[in-house]
Amino acid sequence: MTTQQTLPDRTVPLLLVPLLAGSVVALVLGVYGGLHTPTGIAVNLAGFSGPLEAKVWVASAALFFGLVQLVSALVMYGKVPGVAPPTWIGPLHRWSGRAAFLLAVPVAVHCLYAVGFQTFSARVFVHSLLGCLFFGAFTVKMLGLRRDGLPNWALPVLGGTVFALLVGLWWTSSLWFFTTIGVRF
Amino acid sequence: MARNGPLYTLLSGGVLGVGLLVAAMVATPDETAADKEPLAEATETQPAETPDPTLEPTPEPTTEPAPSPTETETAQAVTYVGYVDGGGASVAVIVTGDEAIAYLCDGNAVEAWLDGSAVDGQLGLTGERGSLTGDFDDLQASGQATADDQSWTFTIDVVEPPEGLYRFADTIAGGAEVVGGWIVLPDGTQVGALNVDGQTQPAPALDVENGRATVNGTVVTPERLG
Repeated sequence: MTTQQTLPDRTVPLLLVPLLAGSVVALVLGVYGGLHTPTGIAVNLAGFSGPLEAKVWVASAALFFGLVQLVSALVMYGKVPGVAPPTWIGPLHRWSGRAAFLLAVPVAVHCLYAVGFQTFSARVFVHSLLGCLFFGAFTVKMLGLRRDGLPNWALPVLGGTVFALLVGLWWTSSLWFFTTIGVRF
Repeated sequence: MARNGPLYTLLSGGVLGVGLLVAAMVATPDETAADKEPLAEATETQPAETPDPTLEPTPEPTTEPAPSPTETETAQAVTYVGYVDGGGASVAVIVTGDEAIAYLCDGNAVEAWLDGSAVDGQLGLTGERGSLTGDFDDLQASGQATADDQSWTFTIDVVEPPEGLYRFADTIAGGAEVVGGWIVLPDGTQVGALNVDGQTQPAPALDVENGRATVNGTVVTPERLG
């Protein structure tokens, strides 16, 4: 991605529309989660003993692809010493990202529909907040990818933000589940 | 790079999300169409999580569940309270949907507020000063609980108001930060504790009828949880 070195100020506004769109996504999710009365139930995935078990494992799978994202991005940017970016690193990055995102969607739908945006404990509040921000940040990243002439730092920062949010989400849900209730399916 | 790729990714996620949401709505007995949509249609919903209409004290065996609006809109809170085995403390568990909170207290200096999950009949709760694991069904909850490094086992029953768990948390006159918990048991006994600026002490009596208690000369109004 090239920058317009002579006009650095004009590159950042390119992110304006993606940022706005991302904010709308995050807000809509949060408002829906807050207004919709949680049902307590939703469609479950076959093969798991319950929706929470399904969610923690699907979310863990999303985190796995998130880690692939991190590594492939580092390789792509030549940040891993001694590893020349192979030709397939781009497709790997794209498809692992899609996988992570598409795995996260059903988890989020269950969260929003069955549980809602909750604040009764710090963990739950942080998780609710991160969940909304994650999809907002992901939207910014996706729309940002379509823009030419972004500053060099834009995509790594956006990608890093999305990854950090995903880790935070997993930490406050799946890791909590594994350590509190146990590793079970 | 296929520049529309990211857009398709976003859109497919959006479509997937909306699709799942609609599927969830169809699978959920909803307030208006509930009578026509037997729960069985939602083949993969979790029965353990479904607010069990049989818990309602008004049995109407003629019609199928026919849930009242409030029942389906919100996951209904079910309260279990009782003494721990041996009677050294009391425990209250409130299950709402797949979340639960609990309060464990010896009426003196040991107490713990807990929260966590209630899924598939299993409780997993933690808090700063304790934890609770166990099983629950429509009538009883049982398991083991820990507070301030003391452990008990318990088997407690579902109760209806005014029995249950009451809580007050606020700063009272004089600036003291107070968190009070009262477990009102079926035999009318109250087991409660008051945490004032981090120090746990026995709670003053709770006037259950009027929902009042007096803390350091200040009248406070604990509310019944669940």
